[in-house]
Amino acid sequence: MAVGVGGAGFIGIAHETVMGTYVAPTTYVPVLSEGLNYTEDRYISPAIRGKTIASLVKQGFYHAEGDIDWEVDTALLPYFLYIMRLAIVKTGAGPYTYTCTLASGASSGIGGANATQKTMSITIVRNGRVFKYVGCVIPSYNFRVEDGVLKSNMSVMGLGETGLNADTPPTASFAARKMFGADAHTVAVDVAGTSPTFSTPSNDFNGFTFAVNDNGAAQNRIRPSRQASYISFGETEATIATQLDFQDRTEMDAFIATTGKALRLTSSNVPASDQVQITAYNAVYTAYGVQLGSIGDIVMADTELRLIDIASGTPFQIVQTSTTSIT
Amino acid sequence: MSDFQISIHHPDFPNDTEFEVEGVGLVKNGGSLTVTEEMQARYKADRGIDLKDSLEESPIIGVGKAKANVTTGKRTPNEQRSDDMMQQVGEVAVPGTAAEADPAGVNHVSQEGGES
Repeated sequence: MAVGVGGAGFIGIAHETVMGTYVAPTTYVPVLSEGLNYTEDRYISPAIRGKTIASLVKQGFYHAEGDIDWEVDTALLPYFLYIMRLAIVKTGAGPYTYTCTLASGASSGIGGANATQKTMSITIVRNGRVFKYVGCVIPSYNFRVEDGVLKSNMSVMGLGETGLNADTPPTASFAARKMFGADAHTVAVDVAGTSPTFSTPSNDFNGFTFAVNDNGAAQNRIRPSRQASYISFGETEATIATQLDFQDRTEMDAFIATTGKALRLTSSNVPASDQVQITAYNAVYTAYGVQLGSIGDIVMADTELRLIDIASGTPFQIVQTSTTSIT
Repeated sequence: MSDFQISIHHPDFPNDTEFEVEGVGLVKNGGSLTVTEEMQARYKADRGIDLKDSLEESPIIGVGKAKANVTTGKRTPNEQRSDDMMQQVGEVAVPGTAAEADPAGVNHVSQEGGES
């Protein structure tokens, strides 16, 4: 077997009907990189038996874990939203609107009271060999404007991996791509509230990273299997990080006073069918650093805001329009 | 090696969505295309595997004619829809009952299948 190159690989996905039972890929996702891997807590016996080196090893519990980094495509994003800790309401008869708010479930699963509405099989072909990750969900992710493009990093956790060396790779079939370029984005800021108007766009943002960490962890229970039993979801920590042109002390004062702000990033090609809108309803600065970096540096503030719950509302909302129909 | 037809049907995407099928080219959702011997030879030379075998691993792609020889692989609803569509255009022989009789179809590996 010859060596392989990354660009010849590909990723295919499919939602599962039974969590952890592999489904062959129906949809293929262009990615910038991936690092999904078999992750095991291998047991190396420390038994004392007259030698100073371990003498026995046993297979331990394992799960799949790693990041997928990609350029957001509204035809594909809905598949991933359904395996995040989000409550999703789908409306429309095509194109569709997916309105996503933070859910509170604690375990991966398919609908019901689980944290996720679906689970996913992720097939990755690397150098012609097939890796089949099952029971995958996304307990941590970000959306960011980088190089003028809306990108996303998704930290995937799965129950296991079921590929075999003899598996025949599927033929990838990539749908026509959609991407948000530099002129697609708008940021708006308002005072914290359940229904801010965002009437005036802000032109001060240098970068925008909305990150959510639901503190996922593979949970292993005693049963005749080494795979994880499920992926747990803990506290949700949501932040927005950016760099702002420093013009006066208004934002500095808001940082000191813990004044709540509402922020909205809209990335749009066609509002009705190709748009992602992320809204934070109550965000408070947790960092606001301003300095004279060097003789030629623009005076800017490195900031991070933490999202906080808001009475009678939701801390954040992701609204996405798409031509893709998830059922 | 001989020419054969493929169809593509992705139930989540609109019918006019164009798919770039690896080794074959552009096919509109709901459409079909002839896979020539040259395409198959080029794919084999590049990937080292048979294009038809690889196409048959995809639930959204229906493979025509020679597909009747397949004896493994449980049909998913998507595959069945693809077959139905190909039957409508008269290009496919639907896989025989031998495929349906194999409950351990190659596309449905059990959870523990690859962990050893």
